[in-house]
Amino acid sequence: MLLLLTLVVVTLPAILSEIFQRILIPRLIAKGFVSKDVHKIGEPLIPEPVGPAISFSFIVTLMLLLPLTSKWALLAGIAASSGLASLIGLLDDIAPLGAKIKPVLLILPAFLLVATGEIIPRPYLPLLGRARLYYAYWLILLAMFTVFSNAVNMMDALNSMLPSSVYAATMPLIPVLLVLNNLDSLLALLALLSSMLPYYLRNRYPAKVFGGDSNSLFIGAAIASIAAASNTEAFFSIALLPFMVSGFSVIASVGGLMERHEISRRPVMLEKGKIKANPDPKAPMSLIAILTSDKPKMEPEIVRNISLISLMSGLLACLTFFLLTPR
Amino acid sequence: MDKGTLLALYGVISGWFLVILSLAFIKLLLMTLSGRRLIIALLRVVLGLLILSTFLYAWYRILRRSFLKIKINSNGPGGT
Repeated sequence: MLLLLTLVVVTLPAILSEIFQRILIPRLIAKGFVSKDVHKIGEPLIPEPVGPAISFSFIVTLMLLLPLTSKWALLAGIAASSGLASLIGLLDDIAPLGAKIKPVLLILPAFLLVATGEIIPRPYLPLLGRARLYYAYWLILLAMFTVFSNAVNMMDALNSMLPSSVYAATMPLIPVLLVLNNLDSLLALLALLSSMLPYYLRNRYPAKVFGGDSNSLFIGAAIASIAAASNTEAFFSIALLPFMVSGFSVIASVGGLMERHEISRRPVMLEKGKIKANPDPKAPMSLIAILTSDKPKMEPEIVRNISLISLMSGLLACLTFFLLTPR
Repeated sequence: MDKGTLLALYGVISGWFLVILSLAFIKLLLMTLSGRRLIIALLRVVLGLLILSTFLYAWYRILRRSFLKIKINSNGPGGT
């Protein structure tokens, strides 16, 4: 039965996502929903957002799984909270919400997950083991949703940077979910990774589609839901360290939450088709700026570097669980 | 491997070390502040967050300084 379920969550979301994207992309182009690829010479126009096709395939798969799992409310909660984040993202894609309102709105999906009554405030923590955070946990959960969603959103800067780094960071956590026997979270994670596959193939350099905030915020909220459902918040946070480094550095160096167009000095600049850190010392520090601080790099090389760093943080998270966490 | 990639790797590994170090401090705190009263629980959370934010601030300052050093060395002093 488990093998059959695994097979379903590995294949079905990818097939659905491909079908939905084939339906959505021509319509986006026809309606003029296109964005400039600013890191390419000539700035070609790319259809955006394909996020709803990805989130919808994930939600449909989880809904189909509901009758087959024991904790159906938990899976419904994961689907509902990530779906709400995708809707918030879609709203932001159509009419930008503002850098200060978006993080506040992104705590709403956490309430949907809590409403299922299936979340246990006892996260596994490195060195400390299974903590009892009956009061503080709920505040941490709200913060986690907005931090994860925004951190993933800030990683959506270059072609395939988001999907490849999410794959690299989260796949090493599959053994953790298996050891904890948390099958619902495992199935949800596999469904998420599967639904991202057609998007990854189209978003590879040179990108043919962009996901938009409806994709990045959905992925961030889905990861936060899976982490909360399996009490592995600390390990997913470690796995997403490159995302946090990038997000936190930008926020700290510009002195608060700002939309991309509000930042007067860009962290990076384009020079002869290569990306390099803005030499201005007052320019914000992003992960891409750090990677190109020494020498200019082509987009695929930066994405490869970030994927490798994400894989390393995913492996660190996995090792932290197996070697440093009392169970 | 260039200096930029090394700095990014350093940023992630030191970030992980920071998390582990803060948890070690929190473990010490839990052993020192024992008791089931609400004020003790609140004190633990506040002190835990204080430890984490202090480490985070120190980590950010070090990373930013190294970033600027590499950037200025390879591009020369900039300014727009």
